[in-house]
Amino acid sequence: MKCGLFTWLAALMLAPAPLMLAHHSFAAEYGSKPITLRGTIVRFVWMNPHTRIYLDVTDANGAVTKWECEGSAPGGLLSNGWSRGSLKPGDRVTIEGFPARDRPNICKVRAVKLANGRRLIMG
Amino acid sequence: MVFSLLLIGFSPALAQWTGVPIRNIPRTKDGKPDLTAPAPRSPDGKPDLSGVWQGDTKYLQNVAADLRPGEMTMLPWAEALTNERKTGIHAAEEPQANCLPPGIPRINSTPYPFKIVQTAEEVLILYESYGLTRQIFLDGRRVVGDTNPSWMGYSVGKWDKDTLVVDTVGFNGKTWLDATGHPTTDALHVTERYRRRDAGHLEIRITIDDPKAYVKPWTVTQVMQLLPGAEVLEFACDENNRDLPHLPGAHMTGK
Repeated sequence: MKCGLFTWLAALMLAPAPLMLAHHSFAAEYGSKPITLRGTIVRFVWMNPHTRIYLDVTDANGAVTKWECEGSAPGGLLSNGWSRGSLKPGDRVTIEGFPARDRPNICKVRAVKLANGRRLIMG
Repeated sequence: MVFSLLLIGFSPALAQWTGVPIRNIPRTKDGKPDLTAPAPRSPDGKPDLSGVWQGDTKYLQNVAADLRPGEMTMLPWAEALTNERKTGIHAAEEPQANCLPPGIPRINSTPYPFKIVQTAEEVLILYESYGLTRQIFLDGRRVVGDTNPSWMGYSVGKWDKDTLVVDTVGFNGKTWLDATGHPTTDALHVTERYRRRDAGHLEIRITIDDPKAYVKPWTVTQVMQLLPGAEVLEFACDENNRDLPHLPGAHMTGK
């Protein structure tokens, strides 16, 4: 999906988007200590009630860990400058988020920094 | 030919479902929506509440966020339940986690916009949140007798000068007023006073009267922002709701 200049302008013209773009409370599921993940996009699932980013994170020894990170709903993200084409398999990204309390390698996304330096706020 | 050129010239806008310039708003000299202009009026002289609006998610977390101690007092059972819900142990029982309707007034502060369509006989609200709709009848009907208990209640409205006063009853008592967990019961009566302060701001003064849960009625005021060019999109909550099994508490049954 193309995201022309108009899309970004339209997004900028909208009222400040809420940062907590959740359909329910996250507090019970995710911790409050932030984490940063640098990895490669495997899949970006553009579905309700939350989008999901699947990514491979490679450590210094070359070992790959598969992460699944939950984001805001597609509708809210569209207003926030996102589209379903914002992340593509193979994209190198940095994810700022919060880890799940009860499971490893699961997180809630707050923002994604793209390889071109753009930072997309998710919620 | 000119039309074709216009089409080409504006094709990025026309290609978008959102971002289409809206008509019923005053504009500044440079053509931008004038959000501080006086509120537009409908042909019958009433303020026109029509538009796509976004509430303040501060109240999604805590509807009583602006109240001072003592302005809202819960009955002991309601306070005990709220304190439990605050800890997160009942997170799977929150209707939203189950993709169930947020109810009134919580739906005003979800992070999804809503569209008001106003006619002389009724006001319709299309909520992106959970794809819900609401009919507020202005034709003088009243809720009489036993209604089928519902998540969103039954709404009637009347104009008080420039304010639309909406009364809603007939709730099922299952909704949480916010993520903090302030409870409701089937005795809930919500009064919303909608006043379009200016073109860009819609004030909703909300009174919660639920004598089975709260000592006395209490009132909060929330302000909605106009989103010029925004549209209400589909929100099919059940599409991929994978959080529920990981939330503490029992899922809602009989969904």
